[in-house]
Amino acid sequence: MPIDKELLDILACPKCKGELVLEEGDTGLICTKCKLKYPIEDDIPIMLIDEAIKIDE
Amino acid sequence: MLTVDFKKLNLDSGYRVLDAGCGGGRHLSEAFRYSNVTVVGLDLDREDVTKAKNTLRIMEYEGEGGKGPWGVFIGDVTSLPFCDESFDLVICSEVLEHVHDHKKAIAEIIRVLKPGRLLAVSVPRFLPERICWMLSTSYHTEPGGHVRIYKKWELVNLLESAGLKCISSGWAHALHSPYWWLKCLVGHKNDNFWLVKLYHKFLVWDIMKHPRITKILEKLLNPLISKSIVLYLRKGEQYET
Repeated sequence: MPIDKELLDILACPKCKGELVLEEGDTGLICTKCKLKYPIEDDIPIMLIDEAIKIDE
Repeated sequence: MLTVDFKKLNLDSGYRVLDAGCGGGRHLSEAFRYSNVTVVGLDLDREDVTKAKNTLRIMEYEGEGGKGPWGVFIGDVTSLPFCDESFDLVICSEVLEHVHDHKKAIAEIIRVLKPGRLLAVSVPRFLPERICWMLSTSYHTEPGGHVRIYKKWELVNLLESAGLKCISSGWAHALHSPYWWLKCLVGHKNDNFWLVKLYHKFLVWDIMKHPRITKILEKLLNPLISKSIVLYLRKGEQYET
């Protein structure tokens, strides 16, 4: 189940409160500023800084 | 089982609601019944969030929802993953007593709440909770357990100094206090003790059937031994994030 557009608009990175981008395939939410990916598992985004995945440029 | 009184929340069509520390979704699912309301649940516990997700899905399938968008997230109330002033209502029920940095959690909740809108907070009430702590050490020392006991005035001061105005308060679940005292007395994980089992059956019966007699009994006992206190607070128009 994709994240509703309205919810995407209010979602923010829990670390910097900046914008998040939904990854293709709805597998994660990416903060380009922090270079972190918040994974989505079983349709549930895991918005925990400690569990975010570091991403390369 | 609801701790927060929805009649006091002025929940309206088009509202966006956050249940911060939603657990299995008891308040979230109630908010979801309202027409055209967006509901968002967040909790640290994966099992609880999955339960909340499944509950809302079933409600949607059965046509019990108000047809508003919804979403659930695993997250920490001390670092909320939402933009400033995103919500028309925030519910934070039986959460703050678990959070070490409760000032950070409160600041985050206020940040995501729109100015002039309501926050409903509930925590265990001082005396019934103190009795639980006295009867059982493991009740409050287990991981993820309660880290403090609030006096009502302390919590009101804490929230008001952070930018909220307490406009109303209430009590809830007086019939649950003796149950927890009993559990603490026999070991709070000892659910097989016959009296605990019997009392649990009674509480489930009460939740399912809503009989008049227990409603009256709870109303009479709430001022004395309610398990929870509930505060309803409004965010000032002038609050600066």
